[in-house]
Amino acid sequence: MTGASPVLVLREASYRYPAGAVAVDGVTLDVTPGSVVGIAGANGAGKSTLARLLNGLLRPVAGTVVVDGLDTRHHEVHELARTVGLVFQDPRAQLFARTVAEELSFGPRNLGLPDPEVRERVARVAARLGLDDVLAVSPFELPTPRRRLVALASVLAMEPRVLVLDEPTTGQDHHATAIVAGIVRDLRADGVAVVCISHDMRLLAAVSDQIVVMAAGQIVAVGAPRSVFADVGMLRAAGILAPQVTRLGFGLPQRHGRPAVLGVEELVGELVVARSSGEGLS
Amino acid sequence: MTGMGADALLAYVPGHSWLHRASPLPKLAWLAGCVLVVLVTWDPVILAAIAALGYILAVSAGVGRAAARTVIALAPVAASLIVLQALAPVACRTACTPVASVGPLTVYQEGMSHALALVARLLAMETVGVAMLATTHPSDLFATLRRLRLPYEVSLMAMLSLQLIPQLHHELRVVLQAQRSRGLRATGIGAVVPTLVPVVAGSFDRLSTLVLSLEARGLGAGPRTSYRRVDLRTVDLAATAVAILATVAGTVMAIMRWGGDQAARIVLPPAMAVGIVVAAVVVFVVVMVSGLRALARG
Amino acid sequence: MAVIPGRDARQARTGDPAPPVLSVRDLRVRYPSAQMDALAGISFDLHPGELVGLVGLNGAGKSTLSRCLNGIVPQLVPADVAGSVTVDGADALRTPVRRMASKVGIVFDEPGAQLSQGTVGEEVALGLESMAVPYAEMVARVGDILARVGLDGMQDRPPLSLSGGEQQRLALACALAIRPLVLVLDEPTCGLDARSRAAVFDLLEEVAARDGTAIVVVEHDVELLAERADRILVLREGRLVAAGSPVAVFGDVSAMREAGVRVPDVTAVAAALGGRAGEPLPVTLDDAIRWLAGVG
Repeated sequence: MTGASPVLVLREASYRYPAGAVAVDGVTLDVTPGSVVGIAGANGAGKSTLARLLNGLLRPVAGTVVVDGLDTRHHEVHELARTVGLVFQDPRAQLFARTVAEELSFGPRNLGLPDPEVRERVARVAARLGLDDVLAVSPFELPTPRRRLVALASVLAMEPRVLVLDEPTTGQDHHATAIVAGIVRDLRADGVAVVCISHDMRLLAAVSDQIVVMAAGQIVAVGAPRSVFADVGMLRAAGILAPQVTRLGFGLPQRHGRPAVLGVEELVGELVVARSSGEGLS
Repeated sequence: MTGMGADALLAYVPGHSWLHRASPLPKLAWLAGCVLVVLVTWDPVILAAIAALGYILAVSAGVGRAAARTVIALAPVAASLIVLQALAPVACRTACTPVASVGPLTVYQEGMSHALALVARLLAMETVGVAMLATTHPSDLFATLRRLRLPYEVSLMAMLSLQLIPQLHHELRVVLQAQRSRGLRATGIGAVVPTLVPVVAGSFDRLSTLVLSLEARGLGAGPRTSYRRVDLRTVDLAATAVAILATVAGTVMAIMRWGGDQAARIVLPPAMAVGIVVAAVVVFVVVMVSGLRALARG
Repeated sequence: MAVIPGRDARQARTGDPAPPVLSVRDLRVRYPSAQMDALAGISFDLHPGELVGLVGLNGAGKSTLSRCLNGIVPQLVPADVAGSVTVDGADALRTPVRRMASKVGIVFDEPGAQLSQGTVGEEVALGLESMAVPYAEMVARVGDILARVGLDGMQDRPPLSLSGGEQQRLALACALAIRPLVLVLDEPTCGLDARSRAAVFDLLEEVAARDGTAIVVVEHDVELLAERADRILVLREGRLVAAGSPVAVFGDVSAMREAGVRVPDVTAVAAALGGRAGEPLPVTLDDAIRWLAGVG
């Protein structure tokens, strides 16, 4: 994370549904370019509502959400779409075009870009996500994992500075999940700020620079994955579990007092080093 | 689809009023009878009286707001009736009495009177309809119809259609949100395809899953029992009988006294007639535009 | 409901002498205008009270297989089929789906799409009405099943006003109300948080143990399956490439890699450390802690 100024700034942002239920309560958060923020929390904690606050679909009833200098209360969603891309959980909510190419060009066209630029962007994003071979195919003929990539690509074609992913890997197998993780890392390298809402703790551990834990509409923890996953009491109260490998790391007596591990390779590396330094073989 | 509360059941407004507690059968009978009488009546005064009575019923049952909402929602229909009939009446053909003219358009007296009768008829059906239907849980309604030998398949299809409308509305909102997030400005022809296609495609998917689920739970395997029970007490049957009698009496009266030619004719001063037509046009435009705006806002 | 973190590893069931309640033999399925078989010769048995996890990549045939178990494929979703699926003596492929309802219950992965009635009570009772269960018994069973899934007293709520997790439990209640011999669930924990996922499996375990229902769960969460399932079936490109206890299946790390199936992370850690001769790899968190406690 560079010292760059944040591209997404929330200050005491709150949202209440018309029926009265408070969904997001006083959230304060900064997201800098070229970083990945993972949002975790139990069902009903307010994650999806927060996602919709980030691109102006919902306007905060209190506090502010400022995207690249634009206050979401004073701008239309289609204006903010230039800067914030939101990928919905179900690709069926978006896909409508006759071909993948048409689908991918929808966003850039809405931004008012000239045709040559639109074509260029479509080609770029298709190449990046491995969709070149299906540009002339109808999105409805693709299997679900590829449809989700088309939905993601169609938002990426707008080249937003902030990308919000709402449960990008629900129902996906681990190959598809790995592809999403790869895309997130590439985007981070390109300076995009990625906000990833997910129940998949393995994914969040693998890609996040910061993890935000939400419970009952409020942020109950913010920090690097290692520190967030180490706070077992907070996790339990929030109704979520650290990734299995992290819990394994904490469960091994020989690792008592050591920081949280975030992945298989990391734990294996630690144990191999410890073993080869002769501290005891099983 | 979650959290869709009361509007998941279209017209039904939960409550505990006397009308809510009344059995669906007499309510249905009174509603059917009222619709019949209203359709054969041409007297605007009688029709207006029935509409007023319907509204009082609705208010007494706590569903006055639902009645008002229905009237407003159907206001464009009422408004078009007024405009069309006033300017191009069918009631008098060649022997029409002009009341006022503005340029090429002429407002005719018979047309005006006719229009007011039609609007009063519409209002009567709306208010009595809401009073009877908004106080009846759809499941009780269908259970009653099934007791009257309505085939289960028909009742199921009606039940599913009722669920379909709020579901489609919800889907439409989600799709609009998704497309607006891709820069779509939700107005104009360009918005139609990106909005409708996902909704239709999604509905197809959901309907096929529903069909599979219903079959897999044994639908159609043979004679059914019913979980939803509607009791028919003596007082309910009596109320239904009274409804039928009232309907017969009303129909007879309507044919003899309140029919076409004998109907009281409303004669309006020219200024008022033109004013009503202009008001109708304004109402039409306002309701349509705000309705479309509300839909776009999601 | 479960206490977090998860339960102790389940003891593997000893050989169950009861005859299988479901038998699949050489099941072959090809959809119209498809170049390849969706299922290319599957055979396995299910015993009463078993909780079986079905894993594999998207497109491996898991959904197709789950829809064959009550005849949806080929009767409602056209396909060419060969082989047999027998449930409690009935030929599932040929017996009308609506008649298989009393033997096989199925819950699809989109709970909202399965709900259509005016109230929760009617939704649960739908299957019971179809089987002409008498009124008093229906009311009792509806109340009982709603209590079991944690939707106590919600008989009069509109189904679509429930939250996502509650709808999932309602869809499960609808299938359970009929007291099927076999219950098939397509990704029941999709989109649920850890606590809700554990609660779903607590419920499934209770149903399997108390009612003797054989349960097949299509799942991607291998860590959860390793902790809770009695057996795992692995599909790859329409073939059954592994079947056995979680230890036997997930412990064969190279076979899983070939099948494209992820093994639980704790297993991957143990495997990377070289394993131990004569000892199976751990597949649950507690086993892994015991296994690795001495290392490094």
